Amino acid sequence: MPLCPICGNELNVGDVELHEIVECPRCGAELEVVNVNPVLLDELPPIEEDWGE
Amino acid sequence: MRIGITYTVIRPEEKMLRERAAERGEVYLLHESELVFPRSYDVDVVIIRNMGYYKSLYLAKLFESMGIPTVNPWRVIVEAGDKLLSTVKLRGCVKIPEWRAAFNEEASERAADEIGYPLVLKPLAGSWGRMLSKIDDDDALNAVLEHRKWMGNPLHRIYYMQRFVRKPGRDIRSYVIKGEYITAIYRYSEHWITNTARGGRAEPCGDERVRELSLRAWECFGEGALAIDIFEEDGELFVNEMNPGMEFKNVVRVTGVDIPGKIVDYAVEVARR
Repeated sequence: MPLCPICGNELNVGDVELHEIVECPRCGAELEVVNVNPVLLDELPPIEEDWGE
Repeated sequence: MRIGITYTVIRPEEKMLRERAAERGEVYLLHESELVFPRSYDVDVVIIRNMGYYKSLYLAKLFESMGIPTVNPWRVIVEAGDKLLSTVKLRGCVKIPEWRAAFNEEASERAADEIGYPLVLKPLAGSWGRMLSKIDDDDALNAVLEHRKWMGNPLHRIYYMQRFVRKPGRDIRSYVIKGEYITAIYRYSEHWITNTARGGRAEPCGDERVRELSLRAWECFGEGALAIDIFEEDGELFVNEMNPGMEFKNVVRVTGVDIPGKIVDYAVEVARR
Protein backbone atom coordinates (compact mmCIF):
# COMPACT_ATOMS: atom_id res chain seq x y z
CA MET A 1 0.00 0.00 0.00
CA PRO A 2 1.25 3.52 -0.76
CA LEU A 3 2.60 5.65 2.04
CA CYS A 4 1.57 9.16 2.91
CA PRO A 5 4.66 11.30 2.20
CA ILE A 6 3.70 13.59 5.08
CA CYS A 7 3.05 11.22 8.01
CA GLY A 8 4.11 7.81 6.68
CA ASN A 9 0.66 6.28 7.09
CA GLU A 10 -0.19 3.36 4.79
CA LEU A 11 -3.17 4.35 2.62
CA ASN A 12 -5.78 1.98 1.25
CA VAL A 13 -6.55 4.04 -1.87
CA GLY A 14 -8.47 1.49 -3.98
CA ASP A 15 -8.78 2.25 -7.70
CA VAL A 16 -7.22 5.61 -8.39
CA GLU A 17 -6.02 7.33 -11.51
CA LEU A 18 -2.99 9.43 -12.34
CA HIS A 19 -3.22 13.00 -10.96
CA GLU A 20 -6.23 12.17 -8.80
CA ILE A 21 -6.38 13.79 -5.36
CA VAL A 22 -6.68 11.54 -2.30
CA GLU A 23 -6.73 12.47 1.36
CA CYS A 24 -4.69 10.81 4.09
CA PRO A 25 -7.18 9.78 6.81
CA ARG A 26 -4.52 10.07 9.51
CA CYS A 27 -2.95 13.49 8.93
CA GLY A 28 -5.57 14.98 6.58
CA ALA A 29 -3.02 15.89 3.90
CA GLU A 30 -4.32 16.13 0.34
CA LEU A 31 -2.09 14.07 -1.92
CA GLU A 32 -1.70 13.63 -5.66
CA VAL A 33 -1.43 10.19 -7.28
CA VAL A 34 1.83 10.54 -9.24
CA ASN A 35 2.09 6.89 -10.34
CA VAL A 36 -0.54 4.18 -10.58
CA ASN A 37 1.33 0.92 -10.90
CA PRO A 38 2.45 0.84 -8.18
CA VAL A 39 0.49 3.69 -6.63
CA LEU A 40 2.78 6.47 -5.47
CA LEU A 41 1.62 9.60 -3.69
CA ASP A 42 3.17 13.03 -3.42
CA GLU A 43 2.21 16.35 -1.92
CA LEU A 44 -0.07 18.43 -4.12
CA PRO A 45 1.59 20.93 -6.45
CA PRO A 46 2.16 24.27 -4.71
CA ILE A 47 -1.03 26.20 -4.11
CA GLU A 48 -1.49 28.74 -6.86
CA GLU A 49 -3.25 32.05 -6.66
CA ASP A 50 -6.74 30.71 -7.25
CA TRP A 51 -6.52 27.07 -6.30
CA GLY A 52 -10.18 26.11 -6.37
CA GLU A 53 -13.21 28.34 -6.51
CA MET B 1 -17.70 16.38 -30.99
CA ARG B 2 -14.16 16.25 -29.56
CA ILE B 3 -14.12 17.82 -26.11
CA GLY B 4 -10.78 18.59 -24.50
CA ILE B 5 -10.44 19.09 -20.75
CA THR B 6 -7.21 20.62 -19.53
CA TYR B 7 -6.41 20.04 -15.87
CA THR B 8 -3.82 20.13 -13.12
CA VAL B 9 -5.20 17.41 -10.82
CA ILE B 10 -8.33 15.28 -10.94
CA ARG B 11 -10.87 16.47 -8.41
CA PRO B 12 -14.46 15.19 -8.19
CA GLU B 13 -15.39 18.08 -10.52
CA GLU B 14 -13.09 16.86 -13.29
CA LYS B 15 -14.49 13.33 -12.95
CA MET B 16 -18.04 14.64 -13.28
CA LEU B 17 -17.14 16.78 -16.29
CA ARG B 18 -15.40 13.85 -17.98
CA GLU B 19 -18.46 11.66 -17.43
CA ARG B 20 -20.85 14.24 -18.87
CA ALA B 21 -18.53 15.04 -21.78
CA ALA B 22 -18.31 11.32 -22.65
CA GLU B 23 -22.12 11.30 -23.05
CA ARG B 24 -21.86 14.05 -25.65
CA GLY B 25 -18.72 13.17 -27.59
CA GLU B 26 -15.13 12.02 -27.38
CA VAL B 27 -13.18 13.25 -24.38
CA TYR B 28 -9.53 14.23 -24.49
CA LEU B 29 -8.00 14.73 -21.07
CA LEU B 30 -5.07 17.08 -21.41
CA HIS B 31 -2.90 17.17 -18.31
CA GLU B 32 -0.72 20.26 -18.14
CA SER B 33 2.42 18.08 -18.30
CA GLU B 34 1.39 17.15 -21.87
CA LEU B 35 0.72 20.67 -23.11
CA VAL B 36 3.28 22.48 -25.26
CA PHE B 37 2.56 25.36 -27.62
CA PRO B 38 2.49 26.01 -30.49
CA ARG B 39 1.16 22.57 -31.42
CA SER B 40 -1.94 21.31 -33.13
CA TYR B 41 -4.63 19.87 -30.84
CA ASP B 42 -7.37 17.86 -32.51
CA VAL B 43 -10.31 19.06 -30.41
CA ASP B 44 -13.39 21.19 -31.14
CA VAL B 45 -13.54 22.91 -27.76
CA VAL B 46 -11.53 22.94 -24.54
CA ILE B 47 -12.92 23.12 -21.03
CA ILE B 48 -10.18 24.70 -18.95
CA ARG B 49 -9.92 23.25 -15.45
CA ASN B 50 -6.35 24.10 -14.52
CA MET B 51 -5.76 25.46 -11.07
CA GLY B 52 -4.39 28.94 -11.19
CA TYR B 53 -5.77 32.13 -12.72
CA TYR B 54 -2.76 32.79 -14.89
CA LYS B 55 -2.46 29.25 -16.21
CA SER B 56 -6.12 29.29 -17.22
CA LEU B 57 -5.80 32.71 -18.77
CA TYR B 58 -2.82 31.82 -20.96
CA LEU B 59 -4.18 28.41 -21.92
CA ALA B 60 -7.45 29.97 -23.06
CA LYS B 61 -5.61 32.56 -25.14
CA LEU B 62 -3.34 29.94 -26.73
CA PHE B 63 -6.22 27.64 -27.68
CA GLU B 64 -8.33 30.53 -28.96
CA SER B 65 -5.40 31.76 -31.05
CA MET B 66 -5.46 28.37 -32.80
CA GLY B 67 -9.18 28.68 -33.52
CA ILE B 68 -10.26 26.38 -30.67
CA PRO B 69 -12.88 27.99 -28.42
CA THR B 70 -12.57 27.55 -24.69
CA VAL B 71 -14.86 27.43 -21.66
CA ASN B 72 -14.44 29.85 -20.19
CA PRO B 73 -13.36 32.18 -22.98
CA TRP B 74 -10.17 34.14 -22.41
CA ARG B 75 -11.95 37.47 -22.11
CA VAL B 76 -14.24 36.16 -19.39
CA ILE B 77 -11.36 34.63 -17.42
CA VAL B 78 -9.40 37.90 -17.56
CA GLU B 79 -12.20 40.08 -16.27
CA ALA B 80 -14.11 37.74 -13.99
CA GLY B 81 -11.05 36.05 -12.43
CA ASP B 82 -9.48 39.28 -11.23
CA LYS B 83 -11.32 40.75 -8.25
CA LEU B 84 -10.54 44.35 -9.12
CA LEU B 85 -11.29 44.03 -12.83
CA SER B 86 -14.57 42.25 -12.09
CA THR B 87 -15.49 44.98 -9.62
CA VAL B 88 -14.98 47.50 -12.41
CA LYS B 89 -17.30 45.44 -14.67
CA LEU B 90 -19.97 45.05 -11.99
CA ARG B 91 -19.87 48.65 -10.84
CA GLY B 92 -23.01 50.53 -11.79
CA CYS B 93 -24.89 47.35 -12.84
CA VAL B 94 -25.41 45.62 -9.50
CA LYS B 95 -24.98 46.51 -5.86
CA ILE B 96 -21.44 45.73 -4.64
CA PRO B 97 -19.80 46.43 -1.27
CA GLU B 98 -18.05 49.80 -1.08
CA TRP B 99 -14.47 49.38 -2.32
CA ARG B 100 -11.25 51.21 -3.03
CA ALA B 101 -8.13 50.45 -5.07
CA ALA B 102 -4.80 52.08 -4.23
CA PHE B 103 -1.27 51.78 -5.51
CA ASN B 104 0.98 52.54 -2.61
CA GLU B 105 0.92 52.40 1.18
CA GLU B 106 0.09 56.05 1.70
CA ALA B 107 -2.87 55.94 -0.68
CA SER B 108 -4.02 52.69 0.96
CA GLU B 109 -4.17 54.41 4.33
CA ARG B 110 -6.28 57.18 2.82
CA ALA B 111 -8.54 54.63 1.14
CA ALA B 112 -8.96 52.81 4.46
CA ASP B 113 -9.93 56.07 6.15
CA GLU B 114 -12.58 56.60 3.50
CA ILE B 115 -14.09 53.12 3.83
CA GLY B 116 -13.67 52.86 7.60
CA TYR B 117 -12.85 49.79 9.71
CA PRO B 118 -13.34 46.91 9.67
CA LEU B 119 -12.36 46.36 6.06
CA VAL B 120 -11.12 43.43 4.02
CA LEU B 121 -7.91 43.68 2.00
CA LYS B 122 -8.09 41.20 -0.87
CA PRO B 123 -5.57 39.79 -3.34
CA LEU B 124 -6.43 40.46 -6.99
CA ALA B 125 -6.72 36.74 -7.72
CA GLY B 126 -7.36 33.96 -5.28
CA SER B 127 -9.99 31.65 -3.91
CA TRP B 128 -11.07 29.70 -0.84
CA GLY B 129 -10.56 32.98 0.98
CA ARG B 130 -6.79 32.73 0.86
CA MET B 131 -4.92 35.92 1.72
CA LEU B 132 -8.10 37.75 2.65
CA SER B 133 -7.23 40.03 5.54
CA LYS B 134 -9.91 41.44 7.82
CA ILE B 135 -8.44 44.65 9.17
CA ASP B 136 -9.83 46.32 12.28
CA ASP B 137 -7.54 49.31 12.78
CA ASP B 138 -4.58 51.33 11.50
CA ASP B 139 -2.04 49.07 13.23
CA ALA B 140 -3.37 45.96 11.52
CA LEU B 141 -3.49 47.76 8.17
CA ASN B 142 0.11 48.89 8.47
CA ALA B 143 1.24 45.36 9.40
CA VAL B 144 -0.44 43.84 6.35
CA LEU B 145 0.85 46.58 4.04
CA GLU B 146 4.35 45.95 5.34
CA HIS B 147 4.02 42.20 4.66
CA ARG B 148 2.66 42.85 1.19
CA LYS B 149 5.60 45.14 0.46
CA TRP B 150 8.13 42.37 1.12
CA MET B 151 6.26 39.53 -0.57
CA GLY B 152 7.96 40.24 -3.86
CA ASN B 153 4.99 39.83 -6.16
CA PRO B 154 4.20 43.19 -7.83
CA LEU B 155 0.50 42.27 -7.94
CA HIS B 156 0.47 42.30 -4.13
CA ARG B 157 1.31 45.98 -4.27
CA ILE B 158 -1.99 46.78 -5.92
CA TYR B 159 -4.23 47.21 -2.92
CA TYR B 160 -7.87 46.29 -3.32
CA MET B 161 -10.06 46.72 -0.29
CA GLN B 162 -13.70 46.30 0.51
CA ARG B 163 -15.94 47.39 3.35
CA PHE B 164 -16.46 44.47 5.74
CA VAL B 165 -19.98 43.19 5.12
CA ARG B 166 -21.75 41.91 8.25
CA LYS B 167 -23.19 38.70 6.86
CA PRO B 168 -25.74 36.68 8.83
CA GLY B 169 -23.37 33.68 9.29
CA ARG B 170 -23.74 32.66 5.67
CA ASP B 171 -23.22 33.80 2.12
CA ILE B 172 -24.70 32.72 -1.21
CA ARG B 173 -23.04 31.00 -4.16
CA SER B 174 -25.02 31.02 -7.40
CA TYR B 175 -24.31 29.66 -10.89
CA VAL B 176 -25.18 31.22 -14.24
CA ILE B 177 -24.14 29.53 -17.48
CA LYS B 178 -24.63 31.20 -20.86
CA GLY B 179 -27.29 33.51 -19.43
CA GLU B 180 -29.24 30.68 -17.77
CA TYR B 181 -29.65 30.78 -14.02
CA ILE B 182 -28.71 27.28 -12.79
CA THR B 183 -28.97 27.17 -9.00
CA ALA B 184 -27.72 28.67 -5.74
CA ILE B 185 -26.73 27.53 -2.27
CA TYR B 186 -26.30 29.14 1.11
CA ARG B 187 -22.87 28.56 2.64
CA TYR B 188 -22.98 28.64 6.43
CA SER B 189 -19.98 29.15 8.63
CA GLU B 190 -19.19 30.70 11.99
CA HIS B 191 -16.02 32.09 10.38
CA TRP B 192 -16.31 35.35 8.47
CA ILE B 193 -14.95 33.45 5.45
CA THR B 194 -17.84 31.17 4.49
CA ASN B 195 -16.34 29.05 1.70
CA THR B 196 -17.49 25.39 1.85
CA ALA B 197 -13.97 24.35 0.86
CA ARG B 198 -12.99 25.69 4.30
CA GLY B 199 -15.57 23.64 6.13
CA GLY B 200 -18.70 25.74 5.60
CA ARG B 201 -22.08 23.92 5.48
CA ALA B 202 -24.14 24.12 2.28
CA GLU B 203 -27.94 24.28 1.80
CA PRO B 204 -30.09 25.05 -1.26
CA CYS B 205 -31.08 28.72 -1.69
CA GLY B 206 -34.44 29.48 -3.32
CA ASP B 207 -34.42 33.28 -2.92
CA GLU B 208 -35.84 34.75 -6.14
CA ARG B 209 -33.85 37.95 -5.63
CA VAL B 210 -30.68 35.85 -5.97
CA ARG B 211 -31.81 34.65 -9.39
CA GLU B 212 -32.45 38.20 -10.56
CA LEU B 213 -29.20 39.61 -9.14
CA SER B 214 -27.11 36.70 -10.50
CA LEU B 215 -28.46 37.18 -14.01
CA ARG B 216 -27.74 40.90 -13.87
CA ALA B 217 -24.19 40.22 -12.66
CA TRP B 218 -23.67 37.68 -15.46
CA GLU B 219 -24.93 40.22 -18.00
CA CYS B 220 -22.05 42.53 -17.08
CA PHE B 221 -19.75 39.92 -18.66
CA GLY B 222 -22.24 38.70 -21.27
CA GLU B 223 -20.65 35.28 -21.77
CA GLY B 224 -19.33 32.27 -19.92
CA ALA B 225 -20.02 29.87 -17.08
CA LEU B 226 -19.75 31.89 -13.90
CA ALA B 227 -20.18 31.24 -10.21
CA ILE B 228 -21.24 34.30 -8.26
CA ASP B 229 -20.62 35.02 -4.59
CA ILE B 230 -23.33 37.11 -2.97
CA PHE B 231 -23.47 38.67 0.50
CA GLU B 232 -26.57 39.53 2.52
CA GLU B 233 -26.63 42.42 4.97
CA ASP B 234 -29.74 43.86 6.65
CA GLY B 235 -31.95 42.34 3.96
CA GLU B 236 -29.89 43.73 1.07
CA LEU B 237 -27.90 41.65 -1.41
CA PHE B 238 -24.42 42.57 -2.67
CA VAL B 239 -22.39 40.82 -5.36
CA ASN B 240 -19.03 40.05 -3.80
CA GLU B 241 -17.08 38.15 -6.47
CA MET B 242 -17.30 36.34 -9.79
CA ASN B 243 -15.58 32.97 -10.30
CA PRO B 244 -14.75 31.72 -13.81
CA GLY B 245 -13.04 28.47 -12.66
CA MET B 246 -15.73 27.21 -10.35
CA GLU B 247 -15.89 24.16 -8.13
CA PHE B 248 -19.32 22.62 -7.71
CA LYS B 249 -19.23 19.22 -6.01
CA ASN B 250 -20.96 20.45 -2.85
CA VAL B 251 -23.60 22.26 -4.89
CA VAL B 252 -24.38 19.15 -6.93
CA ARG B 253 -24.60 17.18 -3.68
CA VAL B 254 -27.09 19.47 -1.95
CA THR B 255 -29.18 20.63 -4.94
CA GLY B 256 -28.98 17.63 -7.27
CA VAL B 257 -28.56 20.06 -10.18
CA ASP B 258 -26.36 18.76 -12.97
CA ILE B 259 -23.88 21.65 -13.16
CA PRO B 260 -21.19 19.64 -14.99
CA GLY B 261 -23.79 18.65 -17.61
CA LYS B 262 -24.70 22.31 -18.08
CA ILE B 263 -21.04 23.26 -18.49
CA VAL B 264 -20.51 20.55 -21.09
CA ASP B 265 -23.71 21.57 -22.95
CA TYR B 266 -22.39 25.11 -23.02
CA ALA B 267 -19.01 23.89 -24.35
CA VAL B 268 -20.76 21.95 -27.12
CA GLU B 269 -22.76 25.02 -28.06
CA VAL B 270 -19.63 27.19 -28.09
CA ALA B 271 -17.92 24.66 -30.38
CA ARG B 272 -20.82 24.80 -32.86
CA ARG B 273 -20.88 28.59 -33.21
